[in-house]
Amino acid sequence: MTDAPAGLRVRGLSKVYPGPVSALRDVSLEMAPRELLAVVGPSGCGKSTLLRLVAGLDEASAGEVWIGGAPADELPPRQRDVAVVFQSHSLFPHMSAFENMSYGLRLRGTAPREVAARVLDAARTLGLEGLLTRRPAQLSGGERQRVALGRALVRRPRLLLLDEPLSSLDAHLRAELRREIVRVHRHLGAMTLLVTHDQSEALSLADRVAVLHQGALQQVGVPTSLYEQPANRFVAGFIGVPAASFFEGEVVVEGGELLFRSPTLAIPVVEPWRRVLQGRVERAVVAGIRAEHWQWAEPSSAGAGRAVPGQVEWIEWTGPRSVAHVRAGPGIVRAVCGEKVPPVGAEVHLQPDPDRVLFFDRATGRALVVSP
Amino acid sequence: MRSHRARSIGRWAATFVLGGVAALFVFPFAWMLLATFKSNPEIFRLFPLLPGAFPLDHYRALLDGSLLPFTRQLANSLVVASVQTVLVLALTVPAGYVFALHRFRGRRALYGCALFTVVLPQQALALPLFAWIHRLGLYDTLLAVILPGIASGLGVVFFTLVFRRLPPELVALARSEGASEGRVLLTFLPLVRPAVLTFGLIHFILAWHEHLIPLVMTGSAAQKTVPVALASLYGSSVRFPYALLMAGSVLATLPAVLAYALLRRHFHSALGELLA
Repeated sequence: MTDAPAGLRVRGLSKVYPGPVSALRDVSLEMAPRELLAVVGPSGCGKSTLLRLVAGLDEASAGEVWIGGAPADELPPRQRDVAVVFQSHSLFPHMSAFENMSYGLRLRGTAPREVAARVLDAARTLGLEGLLTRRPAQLSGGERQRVALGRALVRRPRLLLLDEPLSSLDAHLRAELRREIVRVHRHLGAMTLLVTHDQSEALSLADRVAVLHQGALQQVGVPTSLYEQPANRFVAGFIGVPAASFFEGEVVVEGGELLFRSPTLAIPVVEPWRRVLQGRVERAVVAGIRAEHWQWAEPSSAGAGRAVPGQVEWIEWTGPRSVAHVRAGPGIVRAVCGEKVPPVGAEVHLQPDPDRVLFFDRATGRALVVSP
Repeated sequence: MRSHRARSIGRWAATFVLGGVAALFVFPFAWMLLATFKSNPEIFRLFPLLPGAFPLDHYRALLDGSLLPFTRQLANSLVVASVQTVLVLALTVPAGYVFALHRFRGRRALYGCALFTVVLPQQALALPLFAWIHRLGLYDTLLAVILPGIASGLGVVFFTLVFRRLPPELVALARSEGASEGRVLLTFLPLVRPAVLTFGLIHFILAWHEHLIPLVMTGSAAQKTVPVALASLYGSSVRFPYALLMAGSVLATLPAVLAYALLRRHFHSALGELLA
């Protein structure tokens, strides 16, 4: 990290509000030019604060923001060359769609002919041609967000900041507008920072995803790495629908076999985990098992000795697949059903796929990593 | 559930009561208007309510300037009230914007000062203001009447509350789109226009009727405003017919009524309508 990157660099960024809770704690991130990075986390995790600090709308308590290779900390928002789209109030209510889209250009004194050409161009890209004279009150929620995206398209900023842009839209529109976001992002050839609480939005749109929790950055990576190699228990539980189930237990040796054992579950430890867990015998670990990594065992079969017995409490039908919520001991295990969906109340046995189990340190929550 | 008939009786009752209250308010004004056509003895008889004829002599006597420079004083009032209103808005709208949307050192203390001037009685300020105006060499000028009224703490508080209603996202939007602080204010001026017009109109009417400051700050008849001039007629040693005073009062009321009638249609709140 010697010379400044051409994209966005955030270093040691913190924001403390009066009171005991800090909104953002020592966050460092880099974005490459043309990258679409999503910041995801539960509400109150600090993701919107991060966006506001990058935009210059709030003052950081500590840390630096670099945009396009130059420090931006001292710059007011208007000199940062960023465009923002908010969840609501994303348009000026007293201006037409055209006036909204051209606002930034008109401020800069761009020639009216050029302004009109660029607005029309953006309107064509987003299918807004017939709506340019309408006021926000006369537009639907989806149209409003498209106009807001159009405004960014017209301005051609270096960095596009989207703060929950689709969160107040219904599911259908959301899917449709995801495509528009990708289109605008590619069209601009700029960086896009997307803040959302919706992981499917983040995972499906972004080149890389950053997970924030309680103001601290948990992990940054491509979507598959967050899913397959979560850095800690929080990321493992947060990324993935339905959520993974966790079991607190310890590593034991029984009859010469290395096992993970919890009150409800025993899993044989296989390679490559054996190398890691051998050194942790008698120590507390947490096993995380994703809903899609359970095998349904026949109660009568021989392997049933290690399967978790439980009772189906609820079947969640999600369309392509059903998820069984199974009461097993004190907890609930979520498991994706196969061809045969068990009836509610059925006694079932579940067995995790030993290759796909994730292990975490119980004290720190950090993932135990298989060193290559 | 209430029957249709009960509802319609309720509506009639409401009309009756509200009509009565309205009549109570209108009566003094109607009486004042009618009195301008009556002789002194007629004025003190309650009936007949209507005068026998409608001579315009008293209006003519006021406007031809034989008794006092009344047209000049009307013009004075108009200048004082309108210039003061424009200056008040030019000061308090930006001040309210800054108090509502900026955090800076001393903000609370300054806002406290603005609030304090609201509760401070004007009478307490008249004398120190007079001393300042005198020292500035402005005594007996219209500027002396205009200036004391332009620092409106009420206006600052009012517009602070108005700008606090702006969604913060919209302000952030304007800033990130490239607007300087002045431009941000200009951008949202159309949204707060109903509030600006309302406050401006109220200030205009109050400034038009203001009595104490013009009385203290002016001496000559040519610099007086209408309320002060009328009061001087009442107090003068010459016995003017009451109808003349009433005619003066009618002329003094007209501009405020006109201003209200002209601006009334702007009052429905665009802010409330658009952000609901």
